[in-house]
Amino acid sequence: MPARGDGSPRTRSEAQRRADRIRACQDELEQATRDGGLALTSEQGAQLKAYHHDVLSSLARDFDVDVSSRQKQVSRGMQVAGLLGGLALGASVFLFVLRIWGLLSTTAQVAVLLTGSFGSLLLLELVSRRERLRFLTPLAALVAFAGFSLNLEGLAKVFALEPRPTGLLAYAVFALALAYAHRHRLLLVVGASCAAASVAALLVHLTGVWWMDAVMRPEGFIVGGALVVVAGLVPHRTLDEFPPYLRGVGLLLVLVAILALSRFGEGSWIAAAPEAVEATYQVLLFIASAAAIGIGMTRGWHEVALVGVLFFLIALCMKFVDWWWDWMPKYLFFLIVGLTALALLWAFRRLRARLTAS
Amino acid sequence: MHRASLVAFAVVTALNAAVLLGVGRDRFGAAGPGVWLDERELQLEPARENSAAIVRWRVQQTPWPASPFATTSRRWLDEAALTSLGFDCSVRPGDPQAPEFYGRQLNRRVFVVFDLASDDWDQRVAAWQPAARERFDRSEAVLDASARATLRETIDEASARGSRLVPVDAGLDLDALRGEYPDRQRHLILPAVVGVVYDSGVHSGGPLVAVRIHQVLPS
Repeated sequence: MPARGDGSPRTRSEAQRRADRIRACQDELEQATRDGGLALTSEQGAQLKAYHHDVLSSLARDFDVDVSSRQKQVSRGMQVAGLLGGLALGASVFLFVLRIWGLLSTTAQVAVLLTGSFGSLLLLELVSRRERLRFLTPLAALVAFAGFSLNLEGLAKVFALEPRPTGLLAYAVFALALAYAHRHRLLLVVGASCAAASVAALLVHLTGVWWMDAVMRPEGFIVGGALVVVAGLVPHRTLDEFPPYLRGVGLLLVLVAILALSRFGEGSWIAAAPEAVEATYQVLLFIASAAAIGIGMTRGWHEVALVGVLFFLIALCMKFVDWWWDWMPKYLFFLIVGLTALALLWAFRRLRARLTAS
Repeated sequence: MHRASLVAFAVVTALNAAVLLGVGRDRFGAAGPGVWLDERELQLEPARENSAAIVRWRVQQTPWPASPFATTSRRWLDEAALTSLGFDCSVRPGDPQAPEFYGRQLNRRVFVVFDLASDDWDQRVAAWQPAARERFDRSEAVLDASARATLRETIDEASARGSRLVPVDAGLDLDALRGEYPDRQRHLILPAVVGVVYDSGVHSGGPLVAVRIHQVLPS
């Protein structure tokens, strides 16, 4: 890359941001020149154009970034097609294996399962290393995850194995390994969710309760989700697009668990009257979502602020329903909800203005 | 290769190795005497897309004779036994707090001892049927027509269709249970998910806390 200094991008997302800035700069220069606000000499214009061209070419070569808006649109289309294709191929493999399963001997069944998981992993490695096939990597990663799921579930069915919480942990480790190796955000979300669920299941398992009943004690998911949020606070040197996803998923799990407990007090480990438990978690939901909004806005964590706003509104609407739905005329109820939304908009606007000023 | 890819390969290898070694040890170890079961105890699960045969355990939910009335479950473990399994039975069944207290308790994984009454099954059913029919005749007030039809069928065809696996005991220590029930052809000890249920006793003569088998696990 020409003039590669301290500001040179180190990751793909940094490179994409640089490419976007260059495109915006080119558009603005063009507009300013047309409006007569700027007059570069033809030599300066050509020099700047050549410099931008070299930088964009270098970014495209080194980081495979999109250097035009059309390329971006095509990339988005490829991502959607890759996701749908991966899901469809995974379902196809799974259903085909089910269809022929009963015709195979036990040895053949084990061989199919092992070939499926190891073969799909090798295929993923092959695809990710070949420059021309690299666009298939997200799809191959999903197929590898499907192959692993088939392997795990197939062995459990063939040998009548008892389901254990460590199975969830295996799913988490495998999905996260693929996500980190191949920058796969969907598998990152899947892996983080499985990790949080396995924490919840292990906590319940330690108390002697059947681990699949973990969903009946949502507090375990608060612990699991919080651990995912903590993982999202760890700086990711080369995968800097991952922490927002980890913070978002972790916070979502924490707030869903608190929301569940605010309506279903019987599901708490706290040995108190369900009404008292529900009231406590309703207050906690307001505090946690408001804190998420504040932290998200001050630190620039948009995903945290977004999840916070969503759950703050859900908590507010639920309280409104509890207080007024049964006795208030419905037009008045919705009027109050609408006015509250406007008040919140006004508050956010003021907050935004203060953040801009500071 | 990326280090995370190596982790993925390691997870697949370790998992398959652990499962296959465990299965090998289990299958090639000393085999005990066989137990003869049929479709009364093992239900074939119909599947459209799956060509493999899947069978599920069918067990008597209550110790024989099963109650033909609307009670949730008959008691085959008392409060002391339930406490030893980890359930909290500190609230008396007649207490007003009891329904909520027992309703909040989660299921636990335990070992259940099933009595496989294969030799004298027909005699046991024949001895039970007259009393069951008598109770069926009195059930009009508590059961609707559909439930009564099902119950009638259950009583009439108990010998041919009822599972002979009758739960008689449960515990957390497999070896201790096997020591107590050494006859492997008569007593099957299977891991199961069980829960407590509170029975208000409207139709069974008084409130009680009973155990219910939610799932017999593969083993």
